[in-house]
Amino acid sequence: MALRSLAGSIAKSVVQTMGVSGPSALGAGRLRLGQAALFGLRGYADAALTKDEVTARVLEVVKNMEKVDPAKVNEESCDFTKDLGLDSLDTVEVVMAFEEEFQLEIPDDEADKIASCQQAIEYIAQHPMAK
Amino acid sequence: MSGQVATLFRAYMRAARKFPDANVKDFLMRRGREEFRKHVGETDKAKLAKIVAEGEKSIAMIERTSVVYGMYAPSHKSVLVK
Repeated sequence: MALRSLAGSIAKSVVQTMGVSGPSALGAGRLRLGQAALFGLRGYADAALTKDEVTARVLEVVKNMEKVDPAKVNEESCDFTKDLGLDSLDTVEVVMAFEEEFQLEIPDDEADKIASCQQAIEYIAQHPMAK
Repeated sequence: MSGQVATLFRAYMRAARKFPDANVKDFLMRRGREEFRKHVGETDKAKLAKIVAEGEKSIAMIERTSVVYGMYAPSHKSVLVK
């Protein structure tokens, strides 16, 4: 019951985007060639994050962590253990904060390698799914 | 091996992060942080085994409870969630 109304609302929105009115479009069941081509096209130009943006956001996340002194955080000396004095659990928390900020799922073996801001920036910058 | 505690901590936080109810999620994450903080530098193997066993039980409990909370979730989004 709920599924049918959901399908109905999806169908309605498809009809609206296609700019065709009435049930005739759905009844025909076939998209015109130009419209079908548009459905598959997407612009990827603005989707990638620049390294500067990644750097700024990573440093923001680290500065906002409770255990971190924001004055000590700068791009060059940002090793979690040596410069910021975090222990292993704090490092895990920082990496999870990165995951939330960039909406990523970092696998455990990759996450273990991230021990400084620089490594985090490099990992995130080359990750295709980072937002 | 503090690495083992860290891995367990990560698994725990991942499970807690997915919890449907915002208040319970907050509690679980806070509680997890406090509890794991107590055992950070542990090296005694027997104690480590106990910690790992307890941690895995907690993770299983969180996953089961997530399912139950999900079954009776409210229809609207909580104001605590962005």
